[in-house]
Amino acid sequence: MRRLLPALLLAASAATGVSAEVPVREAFQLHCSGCHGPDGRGDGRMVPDLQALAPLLSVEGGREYLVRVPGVAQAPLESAALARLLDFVLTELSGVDDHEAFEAAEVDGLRRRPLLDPVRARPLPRSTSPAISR
Amino acid sequence: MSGFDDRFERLTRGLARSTSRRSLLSRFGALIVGAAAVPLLPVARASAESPRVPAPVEDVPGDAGDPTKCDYWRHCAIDGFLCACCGGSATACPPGTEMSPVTWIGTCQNPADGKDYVISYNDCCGKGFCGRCGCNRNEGDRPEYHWYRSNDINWCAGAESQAYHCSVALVVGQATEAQPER
Repeated sequence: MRRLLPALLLAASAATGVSAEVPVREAFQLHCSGCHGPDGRGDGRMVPDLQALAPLLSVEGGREYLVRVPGVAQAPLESAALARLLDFVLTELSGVDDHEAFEAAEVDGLRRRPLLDPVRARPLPRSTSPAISR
Repeated sequence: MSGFDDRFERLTRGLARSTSRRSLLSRFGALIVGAAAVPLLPVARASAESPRVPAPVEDVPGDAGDPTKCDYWRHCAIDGFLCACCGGSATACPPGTEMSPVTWIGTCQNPADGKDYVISYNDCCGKGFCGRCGCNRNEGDRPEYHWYRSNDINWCAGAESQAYHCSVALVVGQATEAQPER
């Protein structure tokens, strides 16, 4: 079965016309976890906490900012895969129940409009907690 | 009471005459005292305490090879000194250094099963250059403008001390395909 499974998956993807895609958790590991950590919590200093993104979605421009921020917009991923990765981070890590899934076209359009000054463009002041005590 | 003193004096004088100062007895005493002090020594505890450092996958099939060699399969994109030659191992920092929680992640192919594995290259920080087992392979390495695929960056930027000592290569999962695109 272990040998058969990849063949089955390949056949399934060929039938639906969808190219084989890296599982979203693996994509998170490869593209996010290096800096944000295996659980997405960041380091409390310079790397933001991906488990605390919910407030960003409730302010104007927050959803767009999430895609346009350099780490996301410049990730070496096709927009469809990037959309799935963003959905994963928002629902699984930040626990946003009513998240409206990203469309590939929406992500594609947003990442073509880079933020020239990401710090100034922040819709919310950056959280100062949890601070790592020294 | 003085009888007790005399007996004890004879015993210790006898002991002093029959054993040299460098005898087993004195060494054994030092060992007992020394062993009690071992837990007080500074060891790398970052990986034990912090969820910021990934938990390595333990059961990698046929994970044979010599982690002190640059051609060890896990080192396919390393640029630095191998911690296995610096008092640590392929997965643990040497005593007195801290594992950087910020790192870069890629994949390497395991020759034992022909599969790709996700590798987390964590720098060990807090001491100067180790200087042993320098290794520079750069498979899948990208220029600094693609910072999280670049091994030329000092990843100790995320640690308490920015002094780079050596690098470890943690297997953190299995990969569907080689990354970055080859």
